[in-house]
Amino acid sequence: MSFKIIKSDEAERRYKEWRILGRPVPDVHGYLKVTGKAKFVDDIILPSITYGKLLRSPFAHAKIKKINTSRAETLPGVVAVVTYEDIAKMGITQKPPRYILTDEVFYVGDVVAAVAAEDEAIAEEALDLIEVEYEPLPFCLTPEEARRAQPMHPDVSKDNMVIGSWPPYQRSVGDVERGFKESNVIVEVNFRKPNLKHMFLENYAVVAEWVGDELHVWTHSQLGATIFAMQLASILNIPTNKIHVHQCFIGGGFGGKYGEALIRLTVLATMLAKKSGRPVKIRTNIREHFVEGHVLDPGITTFKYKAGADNKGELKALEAIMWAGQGERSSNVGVVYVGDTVFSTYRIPNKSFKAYPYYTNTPMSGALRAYGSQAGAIPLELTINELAKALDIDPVELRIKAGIRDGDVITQYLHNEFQLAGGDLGELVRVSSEEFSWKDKWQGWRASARAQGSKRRGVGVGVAIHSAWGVPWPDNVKDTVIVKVNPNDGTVEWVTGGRDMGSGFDTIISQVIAEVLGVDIRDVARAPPYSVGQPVGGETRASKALQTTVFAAYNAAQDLKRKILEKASLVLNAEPNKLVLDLKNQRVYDIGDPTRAVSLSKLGELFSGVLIGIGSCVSHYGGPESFTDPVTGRRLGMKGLFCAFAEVEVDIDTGKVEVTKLLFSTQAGMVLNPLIVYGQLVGSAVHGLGSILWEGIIYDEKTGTPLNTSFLDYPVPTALDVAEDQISSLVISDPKHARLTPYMAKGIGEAPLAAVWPAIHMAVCNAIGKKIEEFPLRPEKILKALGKAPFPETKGVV
Amino acid sequence: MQGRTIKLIVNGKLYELMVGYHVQPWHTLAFTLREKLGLTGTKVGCDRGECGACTVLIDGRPALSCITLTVECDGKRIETIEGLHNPMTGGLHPLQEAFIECGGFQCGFCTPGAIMMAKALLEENPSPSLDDIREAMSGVLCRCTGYIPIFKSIIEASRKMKKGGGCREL
Repeated sequence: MSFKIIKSDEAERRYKEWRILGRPVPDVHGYLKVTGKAKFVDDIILPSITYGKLLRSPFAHAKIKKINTSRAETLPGVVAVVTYEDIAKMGITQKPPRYILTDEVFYVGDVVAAVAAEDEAIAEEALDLIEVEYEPLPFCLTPEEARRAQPMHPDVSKDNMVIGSWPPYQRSVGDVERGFKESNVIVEVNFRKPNLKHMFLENYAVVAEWVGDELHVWTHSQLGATIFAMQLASILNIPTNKIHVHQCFIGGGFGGKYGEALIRLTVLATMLAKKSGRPVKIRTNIREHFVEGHVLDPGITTFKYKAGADNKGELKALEAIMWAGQGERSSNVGVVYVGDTVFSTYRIPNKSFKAYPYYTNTPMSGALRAYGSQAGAIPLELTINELAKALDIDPVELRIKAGIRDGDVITQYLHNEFQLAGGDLGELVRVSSEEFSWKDKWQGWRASARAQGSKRRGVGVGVAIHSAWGVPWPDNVKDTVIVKVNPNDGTVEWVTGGRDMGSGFDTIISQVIAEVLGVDIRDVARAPPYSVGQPVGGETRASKALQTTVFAAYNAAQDLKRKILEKASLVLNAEPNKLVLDLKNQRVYDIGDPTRAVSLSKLGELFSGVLIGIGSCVSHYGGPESFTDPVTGRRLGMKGLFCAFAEVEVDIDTGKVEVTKLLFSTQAGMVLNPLIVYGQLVGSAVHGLGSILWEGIIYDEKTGTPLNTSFLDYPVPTALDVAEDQISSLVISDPKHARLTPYMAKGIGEAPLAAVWPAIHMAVCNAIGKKIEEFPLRPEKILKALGKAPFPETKGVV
Repeated sequence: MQGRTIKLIVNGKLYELMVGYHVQPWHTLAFTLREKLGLTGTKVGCDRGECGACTVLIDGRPALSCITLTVECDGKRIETIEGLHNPMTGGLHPLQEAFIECGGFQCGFCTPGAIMMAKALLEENPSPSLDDIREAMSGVLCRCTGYIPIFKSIIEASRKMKKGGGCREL
């Protein structure tokens, strides 16, 4: 794979100043990971541990009329059984209250009861002995069905709409009707997306143990140990400082282990452990992966987009409507992000967005790698392509002209506005198109695709935006990092409550601390994250760590350095700025006379707290004045900007798609660690290649049962689907693209995928000369679009 | 079967396990390694032979330990990730070094299986082509890296091993 970084002069200058940042420092947890010693949840094996299993609903919607667990409880080896009767009304206080278990089940796979036993075989046998009498209720899977259905939570919404975090889901800028009147061409797109799942390798798991009145939990939550402990405390109604959350390594998350995803599993393990007096481990299997946690928000969705432009190719109006099946609950944050793509990808004077998120009988929806941004990019990009086609202009030219850039006002979370501080989407497209040799490859909208036998070649382009700025949650709790120096040998430790899931910010933080304190990266250690006694921080989500956790670490290291130098100046009777911190020799010395020095041990003895630094991040949301543009007075913010180009070969006899070239690019600001940036980019792009071509959960229409619940039936890319010469990435490195963070960098790990989706989708449409308004682009969909379906259309699935 | 003793040679160490006591006839090798011998480096992903995370070597050949019964391994030589580095010196196998240097993992969950699969490949074919590597690794799924960093790691390890690598002092 080619990996190219184009550096501006200013970037070159900064890279030269850095000692450790900007270098390909390997993962600080590398040794643990390659030796199999990194502890994941399932690796926690405690004395007298028992194993939990969950009884799941075979119905998509039903009332539990009667439940009898007596036969299960008397099975030898069973230590505890928990049903809703044990934990009535226990749940998260919000609307609707998310009860851990109730007498109603809302989707196939919803949990009915939990059993703990001496081993998993006994626990599974016990599940079969639980007698449940269900009263099946009507259910719906799609937003179209949901719109007409009886409200699922009648006490919450009469129209069956999900309330979520930031209602109402509507926004309008300018005058859309006037925009359409000023347009010479108007196009419409109706697009459909399926439910998607994360497909990480480490399935959901938890270990819980009570020690007296203290609860110990081992988790792979992306929230981090500290926030997870607070969440558990509010549900279990016990003091937060009695909950010891041990943050294990996270075996892949992609948003799937974020938010409420692990709450039910964890509380059930906790209750089983309490009832039995023994530690309990629950580990789910790959089938359960599809019914535990959440699917992508928005869920099964229909998009209806309409756009207009004048003859010169000026975009005049965009009207976007979506109807989403959000599952049994949702925060609707993904829906909100879809709205942001409508307002913030292109310069369009008149635009409106309306979303109708409905309750449906599928699992709840939530975070999945760039959620909302990827789902929003694909209908938007198809609409822009239709406009370019109607005007017969090059789709790349249109994007270069209309892409957002520095200074534009854009929408954040639908209800808030900020001014983009850095970046230029059109410029990114222009540079990337040259790298891809677009002008040589693009044959025009009406030119027939290049053909060879049954193979047709096509090319495509796509762009996407995504948060690089975090989302405020929980209220006003800022990421905090603590840094400590050991006076005996000058080694450094740092800690915060969460850890990265492979995205690498533990490594970047160690680099930042080493850079500030002037030590070797090998002398910086990351203490294991743990909820008690450690600060909030290190949530791994929303491409936010470079803004929040790294910012906090930078401030902590600066705090430590400042304190040591200030106190040393009192001892040495010299100005702090004339002193040098020399951790290698555990001392501070006078720059003019290095023999005048004081040891760290002495400073530690004289001044309390001098060997510890604390730092928090500044908030972007209720942010300080420094994040306001002095001229316009507008709040400033950043966005990740992404672009992808694809070339595909489609076999029109079989419908098989092969991606022959894939280029993806971003304006990253400063690249703090090229090894990590490279890994994140290619990882996200290949993830995207799989989801646009093959992924998507198929539900049985009659029962609501997910049908393709394995790695074979829900295919993800394998090593055979990726070739080195097929994939290349391009990073534009210029500090002015990310000027709000101390090291002028922004998170890029999530959203290359969001640009890859529309690029491959357009290339396939271009190759076969047909508009396809859905994905995944499995062979049957391609053949259907070509009007030659060799197999009858699959009936009875959603 | 009950009461019979089976012998496993795991990372060069002999274990005698009594069927019906230490191991049940239905126990998988992954279960025995992890839960009875405490070798949790071998990971269980899908638990049904699809993802390859549980790959170990049995008599030098890669095998999916989640769908291999322990009792089938009587008298066999089993290699797991724990056997690759030198615990006294901390020295790593060239594959382990290369995976660190080339960013051949992110979350690290599939890594033990990927490294064991790569070890089997390099022992059979010390100079694999890229296509040989893609073919060999096609049974080990990785959702984080997009595979290319894994390919690079294996090529780098092959280069190191040809230069007479092996366990290097850290």
